[in-house]
Amino acid sequence: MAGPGPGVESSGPRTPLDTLRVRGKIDFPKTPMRRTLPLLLLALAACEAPDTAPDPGEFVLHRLNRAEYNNTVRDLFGTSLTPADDFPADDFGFGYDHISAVLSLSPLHIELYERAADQLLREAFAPPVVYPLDLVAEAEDGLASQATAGFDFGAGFWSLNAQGSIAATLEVPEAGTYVAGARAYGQLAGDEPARMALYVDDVLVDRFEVTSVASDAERYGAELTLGEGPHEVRVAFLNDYEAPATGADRNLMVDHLFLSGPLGVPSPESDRRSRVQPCSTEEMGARTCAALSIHTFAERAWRRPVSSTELEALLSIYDLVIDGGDGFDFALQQGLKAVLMSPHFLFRIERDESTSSTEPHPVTQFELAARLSYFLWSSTPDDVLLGAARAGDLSSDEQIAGQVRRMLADAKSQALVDNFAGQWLYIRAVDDAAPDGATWPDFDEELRTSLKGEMSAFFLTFLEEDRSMVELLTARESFVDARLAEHYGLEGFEPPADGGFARVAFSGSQRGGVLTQAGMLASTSYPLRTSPTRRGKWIMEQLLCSAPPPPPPGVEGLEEGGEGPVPETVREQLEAHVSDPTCASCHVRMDAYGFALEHYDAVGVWREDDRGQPIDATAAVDGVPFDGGLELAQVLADDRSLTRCMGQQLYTYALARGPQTSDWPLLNRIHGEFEEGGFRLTALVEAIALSPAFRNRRGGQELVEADAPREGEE
Amino acid sequence: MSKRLSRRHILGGAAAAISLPFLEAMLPRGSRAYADQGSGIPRRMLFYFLPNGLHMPAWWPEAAGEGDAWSLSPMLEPLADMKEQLVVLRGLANRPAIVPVAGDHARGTGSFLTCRTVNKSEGDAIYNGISVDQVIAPYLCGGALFPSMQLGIDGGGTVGACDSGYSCAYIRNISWAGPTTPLAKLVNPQIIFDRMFAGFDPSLTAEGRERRRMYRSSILDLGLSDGLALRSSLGVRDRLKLDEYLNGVRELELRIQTSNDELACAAPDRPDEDPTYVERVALLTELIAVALECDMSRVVSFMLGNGSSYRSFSFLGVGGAHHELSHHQDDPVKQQMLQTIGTWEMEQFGNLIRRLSQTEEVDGSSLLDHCAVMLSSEIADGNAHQHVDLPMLVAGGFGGQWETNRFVDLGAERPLADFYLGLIQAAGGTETTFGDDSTGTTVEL
Repeated sequence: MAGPGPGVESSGPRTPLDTLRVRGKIDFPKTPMRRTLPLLLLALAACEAPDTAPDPGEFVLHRLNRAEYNNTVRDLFGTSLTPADDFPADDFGFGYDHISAVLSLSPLHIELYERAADQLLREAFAPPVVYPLDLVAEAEDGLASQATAGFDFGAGFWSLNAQGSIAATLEVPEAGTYVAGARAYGQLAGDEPARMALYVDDVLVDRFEVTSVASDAERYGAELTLGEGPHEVRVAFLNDYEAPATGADRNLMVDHLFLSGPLGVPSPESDRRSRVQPCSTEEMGARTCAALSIHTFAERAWRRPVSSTELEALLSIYDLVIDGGDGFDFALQQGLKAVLMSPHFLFRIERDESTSSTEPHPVTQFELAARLSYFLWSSTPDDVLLGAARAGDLSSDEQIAGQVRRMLADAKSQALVDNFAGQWLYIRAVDDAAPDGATWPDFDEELRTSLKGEMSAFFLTFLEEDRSMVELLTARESFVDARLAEHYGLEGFEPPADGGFARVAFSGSQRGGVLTQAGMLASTSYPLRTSPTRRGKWIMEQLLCSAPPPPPPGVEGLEEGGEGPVPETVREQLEAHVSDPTCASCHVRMDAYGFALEHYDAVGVWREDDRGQPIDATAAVDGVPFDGGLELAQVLADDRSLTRCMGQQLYTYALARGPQTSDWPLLNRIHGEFEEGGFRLTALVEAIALSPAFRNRRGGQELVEADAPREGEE
Repeated sequence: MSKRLSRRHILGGAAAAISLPFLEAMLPRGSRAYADQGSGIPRRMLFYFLPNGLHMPAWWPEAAGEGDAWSLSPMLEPLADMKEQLVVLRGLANRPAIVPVAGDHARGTGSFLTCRTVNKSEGDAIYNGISVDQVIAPYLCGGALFPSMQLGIDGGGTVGACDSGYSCAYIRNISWAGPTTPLAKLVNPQIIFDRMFAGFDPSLTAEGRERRRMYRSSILDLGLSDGLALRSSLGVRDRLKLDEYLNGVRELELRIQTSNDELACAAPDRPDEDPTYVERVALLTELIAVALECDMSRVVSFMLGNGSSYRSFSFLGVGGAHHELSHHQDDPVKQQMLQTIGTWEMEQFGNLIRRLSQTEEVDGSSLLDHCAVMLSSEIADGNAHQHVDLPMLVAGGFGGQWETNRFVDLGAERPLADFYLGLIQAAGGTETTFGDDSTGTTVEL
């Protein structure tokens, strides 16, 4: 449990900025570091701050955000359900949607948590699916397709007494080989047995002679390959015979239609139930098994040991349902549901011995395990990590670094692509790109998926390969699929056998690095045209961590002369209004970066001219000239702000809080380790995970609720 | 009655006795059932939000007057058949949204129903006030399943940076339970439907339902007692976060205890998945109407888009992003486009109030007669980011509370907060002040 760690040195003298901050009667959240804070002040803070026992900042009670909730239940239940997709959108702070202080919880969340828990437990307790499935449409439930077909209610058979047919639609869960057919017998008359034709989706599969008689109806069927989804199985009676003189009447009697399969395919994961109920009631008795199940589950879900008092409280729910007569399964489900509805699950909870002391102290082993897993996996610690925490094996640098390496190698580290890169590099923003349909008729959902796929696959190489993060800008290669190769005008592209992405090297001057990836270019454009300003802002904000200040009041949105086609090039238009000195102070830099990318249109396709005028992609920032995206990439790659910013972005993401001025010495140190590690992403991850801010915490200063800040009172 | 198993033994008695002052204030049972005096027909209030303002010259009617003495403006024309139910009110300003820094959309949307100057923060120091719908909800709710509902069309964006250093919370939420608690809205029609109708399992007996209710309550009680135990060991900021949880649990528990087993109306068909934007607006319109018809809620806030929406209305033949267009720079082409968008928005509003007017109450009056459906935006003119001379349209007479079929020009500017104060008092509230700038004198309709 949350014990206090060995004392750590006092945080030492405050920096000048800290002194400014604590003025006044309350200390609301630490003043977020303005991204525009002059470097001079930062340097000052860096010089004066002590190098030991830095302030770890305040880790606020962290509600799992949507991605974290989904990944957590995926790992707890082995489910593919993503119930958090329907939770209210999480709010952003500092560019990310999992900032602890920002995440709020409305009453609606509680309802949706309840709904999600019910859904997850229903699935976990559903009877396991065992292949081959036997999908059956009984005569009682089926549809006769022709009026001539009678139906014998008494025996539960379709009676085909004319050349009729009957059909039913069955839903196939997975593509594969199936046996399709019917259980039938013939009422014999004349000189031949009843003949039956089998159709699947209106294609003749086989014909059968139905020789069995009423006492032993048999299944007649044939193998075929089916895709996932609904299929219509139909049998037709081919040789009706009736001799009124003798009363002889040949009929086809069908009991049911069936699809059996898939054949030779392993059953889908069937250990869902055993994940939440690792025992049988026969083996140890119902209540003992329930206790074991709830205890095991609660420790995984709450990411820490569960006390006997806590277990008893959870078990009381089980007892309540048993007393109500609703059975073991339902009772256990309700006990487990209580685990999922608890604040211990919904929040990541860390504690201090003294809530008001700002003295840094190490987090507990279990708290650290959760910090690691939510940083690298956006998910709950696995059993290995919990085991390490239990054994106290998350103490030394080597132990933590070892876990980091293990975790990065796990497929779950895809979360860093989806959630970190997704937000940092705007991969997620590709979903919001809305190029005008009339101007770019080729932009469709397939292309959108390809644009995101390229950015994700590209970023993944930085996790998987020993390469410098600077290559994020300077790489002369990327990943394209057939759709994207066409979009980029790459000639002679051979799509890989699986039809997916292939790594391609670029020659020429058009493509290389994230600045020239169409996903970024499209998501920073307007519906009808490019926006050098938005692209420049993206570079400054995301890559250099020096966001331009918001425009002064009254001109917001005017900066580019609004939306819509205009006779002049976008560049001419922008340059005209930047003659206004108020605008120019920020736009000169922002727009310059954007001008270099003007060869890429609003969907990222290379172009030579804009509205008939040749593109001018030359610009300069701080006296350094560049021409086009590739030269700009090199200029940025040579800028120390780039790698510093990478450190700051990942630090923000790892700690789920905005950076503050007191973080600067630490960010410097982390950057040093990043550099020593050849700017590898894994080196940066490790430097952050080993940093004191990641391993320590402190209490907050008391604030009076009624005294929250108001505009104008500062 | 089924055997009532005590939930006390789970809580050990003690936890249940601990009370949180702000929780108790949530649903004043004594103040329930403020139905129409006499008729017993419940009254409802709806708050309909449009993003990015409107093209005001084409929206304001020409001359003030009542009955035949005023006529609809071009943009209000889609409401022609509903004119007798309308009041257009001119002269309101939301001055707390005026601060001389960028971020007018965030401030305008955040303060849309609160009339507070919201604290500029990217997120970790958001601060607003309680919204008017939340003040009114307890007075009108009358035991309805949902004291209030928050619905909308747009979820969140995909990446951060909403408006000039203001949190996205301000731009996505108009209902606020308190200064730091925005009430998230639901946007998925299927979830909204399930929330309204899926709780009713016809296969259960009355006794079975009662037991299920008890289990749910017990689980929530346990969460509550866990939370309360935890609370004492946490610091102040953590406690604020945890209180949001406790509040939500308590609210759901109250609902479980007060909900009926019987639906007051037949459930419509469950909406299909992945509707288009236009379909979603139609579905939401229908779901709002059904929620009122079935008396599931009496207070609804609805956002047709998030503040500063960038939606493209290409289906209307209008290219470009809405927010960009709203900075029309007096370009008549863009103003015409804005008028097209705004007229379409009025059609959607018309569909809602028309639907409400077609539902008959027991005395032959319409549901709409007992409603106040208020429509406005976070700004008036998009180009000027104007927080004064705001559009204000109210449909329905709120049970004869005021005369309709009027265009009222207040002449002098009055605070939006005073108008809201009037709505609060009309709903039976005893408040004498609201927001940052109410004068205490209400603007009466």
